[in-house]
Amino acid sequence: MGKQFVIGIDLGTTNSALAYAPLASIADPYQLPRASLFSIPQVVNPGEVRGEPLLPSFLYLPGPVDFPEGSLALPWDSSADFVVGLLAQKRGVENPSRLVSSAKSWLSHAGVDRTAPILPVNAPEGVKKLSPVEASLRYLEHMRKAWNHAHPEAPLEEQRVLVTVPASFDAVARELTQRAAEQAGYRDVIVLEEPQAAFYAWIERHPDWRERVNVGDLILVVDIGGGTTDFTLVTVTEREGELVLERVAVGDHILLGGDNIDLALARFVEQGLAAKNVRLDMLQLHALWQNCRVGKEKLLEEGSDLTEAPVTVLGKGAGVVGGTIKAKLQRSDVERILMDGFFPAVSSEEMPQRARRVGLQELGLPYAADAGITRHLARFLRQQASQAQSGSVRRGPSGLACPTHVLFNGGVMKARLIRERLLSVLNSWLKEEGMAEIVPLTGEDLMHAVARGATYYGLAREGRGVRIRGGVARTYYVGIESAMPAVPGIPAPLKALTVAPFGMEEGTSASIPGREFGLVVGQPAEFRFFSSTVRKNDPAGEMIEDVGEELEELAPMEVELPADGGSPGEVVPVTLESVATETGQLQLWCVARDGRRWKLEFNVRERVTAA
Amino acid sequence: MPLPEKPPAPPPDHIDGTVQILSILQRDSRLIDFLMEDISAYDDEQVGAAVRTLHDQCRDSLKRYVELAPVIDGVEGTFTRIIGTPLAQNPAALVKFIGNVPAGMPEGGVLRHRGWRAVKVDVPVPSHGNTVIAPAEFEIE
Repeated sequence: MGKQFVIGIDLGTTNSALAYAPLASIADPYQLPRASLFSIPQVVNPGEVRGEPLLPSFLYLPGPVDFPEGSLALPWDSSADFVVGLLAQKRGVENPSRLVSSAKSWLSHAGVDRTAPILPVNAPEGVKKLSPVEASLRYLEHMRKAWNHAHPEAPLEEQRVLVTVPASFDAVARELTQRAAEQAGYRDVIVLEEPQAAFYAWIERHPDWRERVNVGDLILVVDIGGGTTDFTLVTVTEREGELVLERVAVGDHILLGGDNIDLALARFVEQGLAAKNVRLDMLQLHALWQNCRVGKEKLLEEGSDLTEAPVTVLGKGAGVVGGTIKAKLQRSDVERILMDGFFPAVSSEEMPQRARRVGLQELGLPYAADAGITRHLARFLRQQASQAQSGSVRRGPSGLACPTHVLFNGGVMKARLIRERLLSVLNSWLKEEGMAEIVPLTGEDLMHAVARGATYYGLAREGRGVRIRGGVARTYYVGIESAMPAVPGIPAPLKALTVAPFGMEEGTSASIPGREFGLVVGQPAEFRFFSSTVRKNDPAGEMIEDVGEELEELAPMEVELPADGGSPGEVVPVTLESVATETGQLQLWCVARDGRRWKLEFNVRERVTAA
Repeated sequence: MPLPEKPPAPPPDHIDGTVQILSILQRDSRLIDFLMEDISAYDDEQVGAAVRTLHDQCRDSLKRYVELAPVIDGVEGTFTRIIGTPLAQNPAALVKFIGNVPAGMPEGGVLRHRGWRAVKVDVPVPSHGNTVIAPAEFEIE
């Protein structure tokens, strides 16, 4: 059995996703199928398995009294002694010392031995720890088994699988990801970089993309997820007509994201409560953190005109009402914390502050010391991008890398306020460099874009590539009068010869070798052209004997082609050659044996002219 | 000699189902805590703040496990026919007549409440004999 599906896996820091598309349905190679999201079954409560569009990238190592026996059973594994996904995330809040989180950030942390069992960092004595590689392996394995359970006829290891990694992953981290996938039972995995996948996802959703990006454009990908921020510069190039994205600069994997924003809001609310002598314990602070996220989303969602959102923490113990703590999140506070703390309007010279390092440190992730994401962006465009190996990075007079487009990805970018602030900051920098404003490319479904984009890229690899140049959206034919004995009252039957196959790319030509036709020159003659959107598989030179309903006739053209020295009304034997020009014209060249050439030209808008 | 087979676990009964739905609502929204609490001492503002949160969570939880729909998709307060609709097939279960009810089956009446029906119930299979709605919590300091 060959490959039936293309599967794109986004192995995220806080959430993972799996998208897929069937290969079999590519009956029409010019119409790529849409990627669908796989609902990943996972234990969501003890004894309850449910499919969810995201698999939270958390792993919990249960102790002897954590869960009732058998309550972690999955449909494909009744004796699991660990749990990944939603339940792991929920239970980990109550008992963080047995929770493995941010395994991916550990995987890219060169300061530790990434294959040594170090997670969870603060696990109590006696808990068998895992390495960052092993944790990633468990997420990948969960997704493979979940898929195989749902598609026993098309096991994942026999499909075309793409796994994404951040562009900032070093060679070791990439190698470890690949190894984790192999140990999780994957075969022939293709590793793709996340910003490229995000760009493919954008293309998938924007059929007019060719009008919005061009060869040579420099695209800044800003990906702000739950716990990480990544900046990448990608140029659009082409190779034999295929779209090729070339990464030209990549920033650090910055451990700063949406969770930091929500935590900052929670800390702010907590301070307000402390002023009223209300103290929160760890679980209550966590509940406040979650409620601040919900409140922030309510305030920032499109069209919301709320000025405040309540955040409430229910009482501890059995007293719900009595112990309830009330607070409000004001829009003005949220905007101030976001704008001043995370997205300050800074100059492109302002670099993030580095923390003073204390000589002895707890083993942990290298969290960003400066929360100003715009300052990290300034550093990326000024320093990291200027060290890019490729000469294709456009620069301003001061040396700042100047992208032409910006593509937003990651959950944080759902907020229009944040997108607009980033655009205004970028534009102020570009203005100083004397450059035109940046063009935003905003995707949809930002939580799943990477998995979907990886699938789309995989499809493009398997079938026909995503062509950077457009193709003819119809098949074109020229009418040929057949040589038949005359019958009174009945015109000679007309055949149709394919001159431009469907999808024929602009800037290419197609010749119809080995067949000659008689061309009437020196006297007025009628040329009839047809097109079809239905017949997509006729190659150039294919003769359609019966001009049926599938062909649409274009306006006929009566022209007198110059005889060029021949006699009027002469029928010259010619071969045909068609050219699709970059400007959307289709030219049909008739070439005589003696080298004389005549051109019939019509454009995609179905007007016919002759020359 | 073959080992004696472990007797299969008894199938869950209606009591297990009841305990399960209570424990789900307690787990997701702390409904049992709320219902069992004496709230007479608290002012409306305090109760309101707790209830808003609890109400959101309780409804989310309910919706996740039970798909609800009205028995009849009509406008409350308007005259609505029953004869000739699917409601007439099992009126004793599907409709309740109130007020000046005639001896026979009425044509219809003013719709006062659209009713509720569980279109789909999607709860995991409960374990038999469990009576714990919420475990006791201990914090290790």
